[in-house]
Amino acid sequence: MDRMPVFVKVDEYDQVLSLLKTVRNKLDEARETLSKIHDLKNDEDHQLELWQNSLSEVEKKVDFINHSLTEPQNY
Amino acid sequence: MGWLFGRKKKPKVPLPEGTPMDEKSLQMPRRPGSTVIEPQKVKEAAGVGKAPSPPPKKEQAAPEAPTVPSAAELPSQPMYVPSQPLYVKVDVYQRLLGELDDLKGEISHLSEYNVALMNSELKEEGNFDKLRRTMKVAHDRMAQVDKVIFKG
Repeated sequence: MDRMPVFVKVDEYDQVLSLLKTVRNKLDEARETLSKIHDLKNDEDHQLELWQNSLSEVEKKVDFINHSLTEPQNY
Repeated sequence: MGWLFGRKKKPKVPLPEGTPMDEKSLQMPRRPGSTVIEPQKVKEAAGVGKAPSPPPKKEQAAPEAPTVPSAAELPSQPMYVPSQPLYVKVDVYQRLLGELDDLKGEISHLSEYNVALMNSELKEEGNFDKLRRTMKVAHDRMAQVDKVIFKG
């Protein structure tokens, strides 16, 4: 004899569907926000790179001034 | 110049005198056999000034009840009709419960990631403040060096 399928009755499942729709909207919103944060992070990384380059230039100039004052015979 | 502005000559023939005018003197002559409809008659015919009479009652049969199309004529309905219970197989139900548990775990992980990101942002903010202060001091010192060198 074949096993008969057993079903589970779910009441008020339309409320579940409505909640799932809300959850899906929230997930879309979260994905959009994450994309914005990612863009901000990329901009931040770019600014940090510029910062690092400028810091290297400043260090070179300070070293030059320092050596010019401490070892003037070499310049 | 006298010929231009000379004295007016009096006409030898007397001019006709005007007659007093009444309203009918401006009307077109009536043709024989033509009928004239006065505005008052037109208003009476149109019922202007009369109280509106109720519309005559039409003796019609009772309106037909809307016919309900048979099930074969109905367009395809969604699979589930709201506000009715849904029946799912036991194995599907168990899988649903498992997926919901997994979802709750994933969402709690996301909350932990949020906390970690917030801490990271706070640390980053602190480091940015420190960097700002450091660079301000460096700028001030460089300005002093510049002043000293140019004074010499």
